Order: sequence, then structure tokens, then C-alpha cells
Amino acid sequence: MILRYLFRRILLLGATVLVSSLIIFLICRLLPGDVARVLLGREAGEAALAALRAELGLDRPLLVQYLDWLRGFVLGDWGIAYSTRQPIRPLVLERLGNSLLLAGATLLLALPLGIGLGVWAGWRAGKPDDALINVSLLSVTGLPEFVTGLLLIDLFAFRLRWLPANSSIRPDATLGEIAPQLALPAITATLVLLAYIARLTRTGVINELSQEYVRTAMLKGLTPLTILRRHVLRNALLPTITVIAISLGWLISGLIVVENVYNYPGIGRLLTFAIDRRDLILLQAIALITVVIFAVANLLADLMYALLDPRIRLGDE
Amino acid sequence: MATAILEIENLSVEYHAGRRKLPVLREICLSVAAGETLGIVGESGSGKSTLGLAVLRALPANGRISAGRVLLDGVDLAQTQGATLRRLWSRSLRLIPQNPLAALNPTLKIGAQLVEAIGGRRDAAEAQAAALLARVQIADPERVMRSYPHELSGGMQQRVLIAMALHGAPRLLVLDEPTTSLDVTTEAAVIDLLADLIAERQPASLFISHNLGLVARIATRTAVLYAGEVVEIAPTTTLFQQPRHPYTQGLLRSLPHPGLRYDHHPLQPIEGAIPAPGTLPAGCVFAPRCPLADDRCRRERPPLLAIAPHHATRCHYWHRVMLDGALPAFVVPTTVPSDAPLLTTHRLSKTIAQRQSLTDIARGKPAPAVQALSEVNLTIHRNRILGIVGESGSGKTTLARCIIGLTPPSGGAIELLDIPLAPLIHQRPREHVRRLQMVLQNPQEALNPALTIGEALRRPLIRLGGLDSKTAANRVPDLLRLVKLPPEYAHRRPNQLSGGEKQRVAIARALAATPDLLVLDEAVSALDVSVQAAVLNVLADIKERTGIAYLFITHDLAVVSYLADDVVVMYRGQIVEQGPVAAVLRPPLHPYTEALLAATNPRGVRLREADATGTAPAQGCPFQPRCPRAIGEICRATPPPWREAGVGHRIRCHIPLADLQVAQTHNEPISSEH
Repeated sequence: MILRYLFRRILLLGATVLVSSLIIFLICRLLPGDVARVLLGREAGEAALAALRAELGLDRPLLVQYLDWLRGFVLGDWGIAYSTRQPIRPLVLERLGNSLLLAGATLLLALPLGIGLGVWAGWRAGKPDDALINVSLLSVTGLPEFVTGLLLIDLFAFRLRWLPANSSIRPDATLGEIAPQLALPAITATLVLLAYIARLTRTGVINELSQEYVRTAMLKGLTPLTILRRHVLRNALLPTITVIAISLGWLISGLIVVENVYNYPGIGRLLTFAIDRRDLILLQAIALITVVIFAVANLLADLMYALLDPRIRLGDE
Repeated sequence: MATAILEIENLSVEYHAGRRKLPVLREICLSVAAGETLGIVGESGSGKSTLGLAVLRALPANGRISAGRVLLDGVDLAQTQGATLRRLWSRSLRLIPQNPLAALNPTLKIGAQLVEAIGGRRDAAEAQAAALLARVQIADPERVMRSYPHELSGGMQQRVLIAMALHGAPRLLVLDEPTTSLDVTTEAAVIDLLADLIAERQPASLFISHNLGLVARIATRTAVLYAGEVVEIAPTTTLFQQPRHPYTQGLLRSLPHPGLRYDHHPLQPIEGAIPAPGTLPAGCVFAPRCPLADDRCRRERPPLLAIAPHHATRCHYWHRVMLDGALPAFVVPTTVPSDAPLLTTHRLSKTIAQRQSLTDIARGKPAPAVQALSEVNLTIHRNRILGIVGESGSGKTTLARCIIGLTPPSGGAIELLDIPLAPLIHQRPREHVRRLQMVLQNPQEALNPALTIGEALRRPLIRLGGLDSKTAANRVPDLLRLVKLPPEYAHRRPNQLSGGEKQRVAIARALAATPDLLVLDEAVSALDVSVQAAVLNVLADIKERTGIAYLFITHDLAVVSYLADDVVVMYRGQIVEQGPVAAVLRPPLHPYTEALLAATNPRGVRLREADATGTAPAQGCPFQPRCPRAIGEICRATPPPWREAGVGHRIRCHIPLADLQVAQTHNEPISSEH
């Protein structure tokens, strides 16, 4: 039964990715600009352009190109980047790995901090410390990443000289070497996520505190801290799981600004590179892999939610 | 009387709403002895739940005790704080709340929640938890302890909370509408159990309820609360037989009694509504609604006068409160309609597939399907009221939804004036939609808060009545008058109306289309007795004037016997008995009908609680596993036959009719010699 449910969800996931792939492909092809012209430059002759188009398969009907690309993607042949003449798959996977590392580091910072602040604010709702937390979180979120990023670089890299300003990690670096380079990008991304996670947790805690079972727990003679720990937290944090999954997707693709500020070799930076060079085939691969990660993260969140909340029922509909 | 262990002295409570302070309880004085149960009755808004929470020191954050003392064994709870208060909560003070599911943590297992309440070493606490569950008549404590709250039936959840309140030596037990969310049959069993446990453990108990009949069964003395004041307090039997406050009398006159019918002894609802907190009148709080009130009442607040031993009332003119003589029971003539049926169902069936939890799926349990309706045949005639009764899960609401076309039946047919109806409402011609209308239980959810009452009533007039918008607007006052509301209400919005007024608007909206049949699904169940009485009278009046037919779904047999001409008794999707109301209810023949009626009788037969997870037996009689009169193998093996018990009266049971009649007159078990 669970296998059937999983099978159906994975089928649905496949459909999502398929539809997205078509949209991604069409958008990339409908963009103005001729790939051959971009690659060969303004002076190239018609014959050379036609030859390159034939070599890249761009003279074939759109549907054939699409199916060919999709088949290759599924089978692991993601093609050769137009701009660098490198195979795309190892390039994207390496950058993806870097981005996951940064995302992991960010969550490691943002989750405990955001949940902690949120629980504190929710527990003390309406009191001065709640207001203080809310105001400071909102003001931090209000600043764009490139501003906080530059401020952090100025402070930690140039004034204090604690951390490097450039985070262009080498592929063969050890974790110990990477850690200081990860710090500033991770802190910058954390500041973006923090308010979101904290406010969601705060709402969850306030909502659960008003439930009747909290009164039952109180009448058992439990201390307020025990009530919070044993009863409120688990229920209040359930909705946060979904948010973590969605922010994981955001972290993979949405770190464009942060990665560029720190020159971090993640997938977001690869994306700006691909756009710069009009490297459509690279762009397609990046966009599609991001969709896959989004969809998988959401499926995992749903499954986790169902495991943690005994009331969730899975079935038809 | 034994010495009181709980003494409430001049207790006043106020709520803060923004900067305003709203008094909700004023100068409450009550005392309760060990082992005694004091009933607290009143309509919603009277402050009875606030009283319960205040004595437990469990008021919500915006409420506080502004004056007075709550002495438990000589200790003033109102002055207790912090660790001392927590120790009292853990050892002495206990609450059994109205909604057991909400009161249990949804993501913790029952066992863990009980162990936490008991405290101490884990294995000892677990053993004690199992013993407590057994004490509250839970058959399989081990299984229940491993369950999550939502996996248990409402009755089981409430038993768990009762068990939780029992550990140690409780001194004060507050029962806040503990059975309101339960079926009548379950309610009866839970009330018996509570009475037993209070006698055994000897706490001082407050039994808070809007249900006067229920209070009469468990409370030795009863206090009537109105607008935050005790208006009368007396031994329960005295209070019911010789009320000395006009409000108490009004409540009693609003209550449908067996043998009373709308056409011979109409209920007498109390006019007006309870004042909102912060808008109390200067003199007597009840004066604006009181038939006896004069200038003195509006000027001078009456004190709580002791008028007899243990009997006090807050009325200047208590000696003028007239006693009702015993009303002669009126024998309802059994009438059988002669005209063609308005609506008939033929072998109407509905199967509903259930959803599963992930853990159940992982355990490989098959997806359950419930037979919500099984071959239901019934007939509704013009100008008649058909009552549908049964416990929750009997298929009452599914039947209503199939008739209205909200849910497609799995089998069978519904005919309106011999024309088959399409299964779903959007497939039906507008004329069919117009003829069948429905009123739901909760008017709060049924009315769009953004529309004025006038707009809400105009829509069906235009869409279904075919009127242009000007004519429709002119019809709105007539509709409001039909449900006894002033025409000015057309300009109000739902949140400016009381619950009873909203339900009248919902009825008016359903009547706008001039339907032939109005389906009322528990339409008066959520209302206070005095409001319910007014709505019932409105319904009876409309039927008399327009000849409309009602399908009246309810769990309240007193209401059915007050209003209905015919009654259908349903159990697990099947009709087990149907016929004219007098023939079916007095005396009841089918053992299930008998059990439903007996539920309000302190010494009546009791049913074993239905297992929420179990399905009806595949063969034999569906009621057989719970039947107190089952006669053996035949009940288990063979579906019972339909028997004719009189004109239009049919019953589905293996027991011969003569034996059932004898059992009713002598109230004795039927031997299994058949």
C-alpha cells in the first residue's frame, strides 16, 4: 500500500518534471538570439553558421530537438556546453554539490537560530522581548543579500580579517579548508531565511499554546517549560518541515546573488554564467535539475509530515 | 448536609477586552460537600464554563478573579500561585472537558499522556494507567494506551480523560459539559460511570451543563446561572417541580417532554436574549425578558433570598412564579396519509471508502469501506414531518446529502412525485433543486458573513424563485416575518445576530424557494433550550400554514416526539424500525429504539459502546453485537425479516412481536428458547 502511494507520488513527480522540461525548453528556444551567431561572432559567414547549426542539431524540427534533449538528460548524456565545450553533466553536478554544501551550512545555522528565536517570541508573545525579536528580524530581512553581503565582507574580511572575502573553493579542497570560505556566504543566506523560519515558528507556537490540550497539560501540574518541550514544540514545528523543504529548493537556486557576491562556485553562479554566454543547453540543464530538486524536496516533506503526524491520512483524492 | 469542602465566596471574574473590563461572574456563593455533585445550568453566555475554569484557576490569559475566595479544604485557591498551585493541580483539582479530542495532545499516545498525569516511576505509572482505564470500563487498556487520540471513538476519548482525572485522590472535579459531544447511548453510559466514580472517590463535583434533563440525573442540588449570577439554587427535584425564579421556569417550559405535541402543548420559549457582558441592566439582570418584571425589578437588584431550607432565589416576586400543574399526556392519534407520496427512496445505498494513515498503510491494513446506507426505503408525504433518529454513524446525514444531491448514491433511486431525481444537484433541473431545500446544523458556517441578511435571502428568490431583483427585495420582509424576525434585520450582517436568529435566517433562506420538502440536519441541536423552543415553534407554525414537509434529522427523541408525525430509526446505515411516531416510540418495540429511549432514563437498559473501528457484521442483524435482547444464533447468522407491527409500522427484528411487547410491559429479558 505504501509502495503504491509512493509509486503514485513518484509518477506525479515525473509528470511535474516533464511539463517543466517542456516549458524550460520552449522558453530557451523562443528567446531572441541565434546560438551559432553568438558562438561564432558577428563576422562569421552564412556557411559557417549553417555548418555549426547542423553540428549542434539546431536545424532539426523543435520537437525532435526537445525529445533528443530529454532522452539524453534521462540517460545521463546532458550534452556539451556551447561556451566552454565541456561536458555539462560533471560540471553541473560538481556545482550542485557545492551549492548543497552551502545550503546545508545555511540550514545548520538558520534552523536552530530561527526556531529558537521563534519559540522564544511565541512563548513570550506580546511581551517586550517578543517585540524586540520581531523588529530586529524584520529589519534584517528588509536588507537585500548584496547589501548584507558587502557589509559582512567589509566587517569580517577587511576590518577584522577573520574570514576570506573570496569563497572560490577549489574542487580538491578539504572540509577544513572550505569551512572558513563557507562562513560568510552561509551567514548571508541565513539572514535572509531567519525571519521567515522564526515568524512561522512563532505563529505555530502561539497557535498551539491556545489549544485545549495545553490546558490539560497545565492541569497535570507540569511546569511551563515541560509543557513547551513535551507538548507544544512537536505540534508547533510540524508546519516548519514543509518550509524547510521549500527553502531547500530556494537555497539551491536562489543563492544567485550570494554566490556572486562571494564568487562561490555554486549552481547559482553557473546559472549567471550560462545566461551571460547565451549557453542555452547549459541553462536548460541547470533549470531542469533545480526543478527535480524542488519536487523531490517537496515529496520528502510530505512523507516526513505524514510520519510525524499520526492524523495525516494518505489515500485517494 | 455534610460539611462543605469547596466553598466559593463572593467570587467575581472579569475578562479584559482591549482596555475594557467585562464582568462575567458577579458575587457567586456556592458550597459543595465531599461526594456531592452540584449542577450548574444556564444558557450559553451565562458564565457557567467560566465558573468551572475560575475555581480550577485555569482561566484563559485575559480572565482574572477580581474578588472573592475559592476555599478548597480551607485553602484559598484564588490566592495560590506558582509551584503551590501546580502541586494542587497535580494532586487535587481535576477537569473533565466538553471536547475530549481537543483536550488530548494529537501527536502523543494515550499511554504517554496518562503516565505523565500520574507521575512517579514509569512502570508503576503505566500499570496504574492500565488499571484506571479498566476502571472506566475500557475493555482493552493495553491497545488503548498504544493508540493516538484520533484513533478512538468520542466515548473512549472521554473515558480516557475521566481515567486521567481519577488518579490519586481528587478533591475537586469540574465536569464541563462532559457528554455534550457524545451520542445519547454513550452519554447514558458515561453519566452512569461518572455517578459511580463520584460516589467512590468522594470529590466535590461541579456538573456544568446546558442540558437540564442530564443535570437532573446526576446532581443532588442545582444552581441556575444567568448573566453571571446565581439566580436560583435548590435541591434538583425541588428546582424542577417548584421553580421559584421566572428564568428557571422559562427554561423548564422550553423543554420538550414526552407526550407534549406542538399542536396541543406548544413550548413557551423565553423572549429576548441574554445580555452581553458589560451591558448588564441596572436592576434585576433578568428583568428585560421577565413576564413578571415591574419598575421595582428594573430599579432594584434583588438579593439571593433564602426562601426554604437549601432553596434560594434572586427574585423580588418569587411567590408569584406560578407552578405548572402536571400536564395531561396527550395521546397522539396515529394518522396515516392518504395522498400520493412527495418523495420516496427505493433501496438507496451508499458505500464510502475510508482514508488510511501512513502507519496503517505501512502495517498493510486493507483500506476499509463503510456501508453508510444500505437499501433504505422511505416515503415522505406533504404536510407531514418525518423524523430520522439514530446514533452518529447511523447514516442520517448521508441520507440527507443523497436526497439533496450533495453526494451520489451507490445504488437505488430517489423519486420526487414519481419522477426519478438525478444523483447530483448540478445535474438536476432547477425546478427539482427548488423543491428540495436543506438547513444545516451550524448557521455560523452556513451564512456568508459578507452578505447582509437581505442579500442572502434575495439570492434564492431570484435564482430559484425566478423573481426579478425588485420583486425579490419586496419579498424579503415577508420571509423574515415567516420566521418571526423583524423586517429591519434585512440590513444586518450575520455577525450582528445571535445563534438562534442566524438559524432562523438559514430557515428563511431555505424557504425562499418555496420548497416542497425541507431537510433539517440537526438544525436545532446547537441551540440553547429556550432558543430551540422558539425555532421549533416557528417550524411547526410554517408547516401548519404552508403544508410543507420536513425531513427532521436529530439525535433528540424528545424533539421528534414533540414535532414529528412519522419516525425512522436507523442503525449503521439500515432502517431498523419505521412508522407513526406514537406507534414507534410508545412503547418502543425494536431493542435499538428501546435503548435510544432508555438512554435518558436513569435505570434504563444500556448498550455496549460501538467500536469506532469495527465494521458491522457481514451477515445477520447489524445491531446484534450490541443488542441486549439478542436471542442467539439466528441473530448472528440471518438478516432479520421485516415485520408489520401495525398500520404503516414496520420493524426489523427476529424476536416475535408478541415477545417484544411483553418484554416492554414487564421490562424483562427475553429467553433464548426460540
